[in-house]
Amino acid sequence: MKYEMKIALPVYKMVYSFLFMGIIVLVRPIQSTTEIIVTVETYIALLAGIFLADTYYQEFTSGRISCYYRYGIRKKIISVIQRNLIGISYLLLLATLAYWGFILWYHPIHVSATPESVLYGNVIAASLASIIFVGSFGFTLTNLTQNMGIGIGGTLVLWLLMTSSVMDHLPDYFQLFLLHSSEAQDGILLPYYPSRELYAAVGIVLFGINVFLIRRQPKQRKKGWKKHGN
Amino acid sequence: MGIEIKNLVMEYKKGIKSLNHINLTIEHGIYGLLGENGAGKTTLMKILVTLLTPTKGEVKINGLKLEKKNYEAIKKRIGYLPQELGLYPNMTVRESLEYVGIMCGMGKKTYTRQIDFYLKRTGLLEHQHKKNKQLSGGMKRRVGLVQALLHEPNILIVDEPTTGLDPEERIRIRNLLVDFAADKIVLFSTHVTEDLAATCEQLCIMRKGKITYNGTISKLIENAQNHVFCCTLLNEQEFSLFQKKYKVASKIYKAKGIEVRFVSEGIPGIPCESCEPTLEDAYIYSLYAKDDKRHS
Repeated sequence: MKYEMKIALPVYKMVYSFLFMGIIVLVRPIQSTTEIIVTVETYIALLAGIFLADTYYQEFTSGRISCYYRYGIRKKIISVIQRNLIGISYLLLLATLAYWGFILWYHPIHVSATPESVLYGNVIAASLASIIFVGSFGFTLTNLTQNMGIGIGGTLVLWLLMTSSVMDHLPDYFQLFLLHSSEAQDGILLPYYPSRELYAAVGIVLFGINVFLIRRQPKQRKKGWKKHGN
Repeated sequence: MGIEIKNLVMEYKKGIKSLNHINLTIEHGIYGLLGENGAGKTTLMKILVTLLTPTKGEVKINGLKLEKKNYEAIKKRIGYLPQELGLYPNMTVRESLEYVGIMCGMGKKTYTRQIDFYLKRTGLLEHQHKKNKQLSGGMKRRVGLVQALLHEPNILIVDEPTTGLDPEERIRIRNLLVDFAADKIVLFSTHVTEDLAATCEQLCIMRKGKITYNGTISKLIENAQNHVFCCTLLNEQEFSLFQKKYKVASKIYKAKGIEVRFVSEGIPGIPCESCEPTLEDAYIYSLYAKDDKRHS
């Protein structure tokens, strides 16, 4: 696990992800605590798609795949699962930091009778579901195509679709970022969990599909190792 | 024990044959694989280490047929050092080797003992706490060699391990290969003839996906006997005309003119003297003499 942590969390990834969430906190002013969930969940999901895309594919880009491919499949699967778990835990930590960043930076009003800790719990729970789905999507698409550009590009398109008004035309179950307003009574927005449960389940299935993708031989056309001989 | 290759073909989508009906048997010691860039050496090695599936043909490794169901077992028997090995940049030498040990399914005691042994043998013990990104090219290659040997494979496949290294490091890598080959089969590809002359006796020359020579180095040199010549040319003009007729192995500018070493199928019709062939001359002769015969 110690080594997987070093592999899954290199400095550059920590820097760009921290900067990304930091900038989001700075450029998205909020007035009330209920607005935090909308911002944190959607942006952490986008970040997850990019952050987890290369959990396995980094072995290609760094020219290590010739050796990594040769390890036993069981070991490889365990290693990739550990890397993803580390990535997801780090992203949840980042969501926490972003949440408290909003609180400390904007001092938003809290009009609801629901305690702030419950709101925080909802932000983390909703973020976890979105991270699992969008993260697994980027990860799977990258591994499927053995192309990081397609993986990240596809994630971006999915995220734009998921956050667009097109989703309003779909049943509630298919709207990943749907919030149920109980403003009339309490002034709080709560995540609609059934849709998140559905997408989290899809995400877990996508992660499962990767068992077959990791088993595959690396494609020959990949620049990272094609250039080294033929 | 050994590698048996029968009628091996590797064809890419556009019909390009990277390997064209290769037959080869490798039984013991260091076996050199020599050939120009694009000859198919790396393709052959990638097939042997299960990174590629051949289009046609049969390969047996230690009696085990190279097919998908046997891949996991074959991987355990082979150690592989690719031409360009990426190492985890923010891990130390020891950490990255420990990681290899874990991934190979070795117990902590076993891999610690193995790492200590190989670090000492490769002269990396004092650099074990250095991060991989701080290592020189030669050190990285040595780390690569240790990672390939860590799980004690019977067969070691090394793809151009000396490319881009300074002479001192090249000699060190060559010597390590010789040391480690004592009880293993080592398949060693290169396009540097000096490396082969210093390490192995058995050799296979590849060109355009085919094997053009398979046998001992001494036999290859013997074949080139009386086909290597030296002469002195007066100027560049004369040299360019000469180059069109003969395959030049080397060219040195001297006060009296240009001293040229070349190979020729027959006795050249110019004033020259026969020279003792080196492995490089013999290699050039084996590649181009056949071309000359075909063209004439």
